Amino acid sequence: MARGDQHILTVTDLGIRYKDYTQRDGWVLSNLNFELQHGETLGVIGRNGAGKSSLLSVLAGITLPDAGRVVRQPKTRASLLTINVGFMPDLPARENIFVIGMLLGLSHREITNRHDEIMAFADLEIDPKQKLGTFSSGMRARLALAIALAAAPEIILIDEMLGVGDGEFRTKSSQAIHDVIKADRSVVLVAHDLTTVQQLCDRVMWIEEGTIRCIGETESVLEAYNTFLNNKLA
Amino acid sequence: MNLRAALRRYSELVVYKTYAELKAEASTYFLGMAWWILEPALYLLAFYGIFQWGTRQGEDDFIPFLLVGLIHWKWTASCLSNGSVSILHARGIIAQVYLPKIVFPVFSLAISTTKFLIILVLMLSVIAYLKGLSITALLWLLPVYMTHLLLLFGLASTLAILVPVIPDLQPIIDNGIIVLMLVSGIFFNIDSFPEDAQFWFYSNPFAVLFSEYRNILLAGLPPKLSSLAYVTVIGVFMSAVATWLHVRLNRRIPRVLF
Repeated sequence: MARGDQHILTVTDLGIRYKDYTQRDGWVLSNLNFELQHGETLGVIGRNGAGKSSLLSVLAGITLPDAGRVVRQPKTRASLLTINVGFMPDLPARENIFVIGMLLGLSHREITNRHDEIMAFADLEIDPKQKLGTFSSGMRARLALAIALAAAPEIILIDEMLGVGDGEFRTKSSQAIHDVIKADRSVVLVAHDLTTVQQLCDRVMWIEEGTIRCIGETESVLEAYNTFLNNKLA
Repeated sequence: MNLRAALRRYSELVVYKTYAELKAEASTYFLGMAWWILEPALYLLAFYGIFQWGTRQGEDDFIPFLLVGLIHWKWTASCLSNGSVSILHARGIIAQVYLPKIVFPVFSLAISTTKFLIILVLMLSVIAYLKGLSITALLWLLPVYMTHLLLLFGLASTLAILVPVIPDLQPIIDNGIIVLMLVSGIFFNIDSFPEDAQFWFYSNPFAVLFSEYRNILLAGLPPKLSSLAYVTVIGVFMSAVATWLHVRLNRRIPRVLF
């Protein structure tokens, strides 16, 4: 839950444009203004192509906005919770944990200290020399999520990923991500599943045609969004 | 992240990623790391065959002459070729996490240079056996390698940043590397050409470097300061261009890639 009015992230007049984007004079997002409070989970909803993923990319610092700015509190990192970074199929799990952990911002020492914890969470029964290329997709997803959660920064950006792997682990991973969101981290969560948004988010921002249509209390924004969708369908 | 912490983080990442990439590459083949030696050896044998037996243009010292030129050329070509596409090939990582794009050509340079160091030890052993080699000559090599590395960093980084923005550069670079091989004096002695032709050949900094390696290793001469200064100036200039491009395009490149 949000801790007071302490902003960990402030977005001012943010705009993103793509040269070959034919709609709205090329602007995917324009005039976005919002803050993320410390410990808050902000849900981002909107139809496909609304610019949600582009927004996360800018918040993660992967790309620069074309207008406005994103200001984070000093010494805070923001990154995507991702399970698709740089796996090396010809290497065993141990080397992959180090490579991916370091790509996600952990130091060699931090990974050494947390290696056993990562392996325990992934819950893989493997030969230490077994190459990652021989893992099933479910096993790879377990390992990837275990590393991603270990490397999670102060501001976590989640794009639809709310459970990976298969069977029992899917429930476990889903619970782990829910725990991260509910813990004292600041989260921006992009999701299409409105029930999940309702359960997890303190506030919700609805993006429509590249601008903020509505931002505020979860219930009221979801109600407005549902009404909009129903009118579109009618 | 302050500069010191960033340098520490990225240097740690470069070292581990280089180790991991080399281990992964070695595990791909049945002969593993032996290919790092076999590949340049086969390359050398092929060119030696063409020039010594095919065209019968080889001189008495042709083997060490060709050896020094080809080994250093392989390193140069590998750094430029792999370095120039390093950012393009890292698009999967670039879409998911922020990393300064300059680390990708550095990964590539580190991998090519590590493989080169292994073959360099063998090459020096062969030269020592054939021609003799002093400690002084080995020390003279160090500043030449430093300037060579600076030049490779500047060129590979500049190309790596430009290729995603101007994709048409990629085939030009591939063909440019072949042309560069032919004009760098790897198979012939530039000093045997007329003086005005030598001037044009030696305007190519790689021809200057290969000539310096041969002067040190085969003739026992010290490196020419004017040659090192010339290559250093180009290396510093290209590194400055790469830095300038990086500042301007670092966070724009992901938008170009997707």
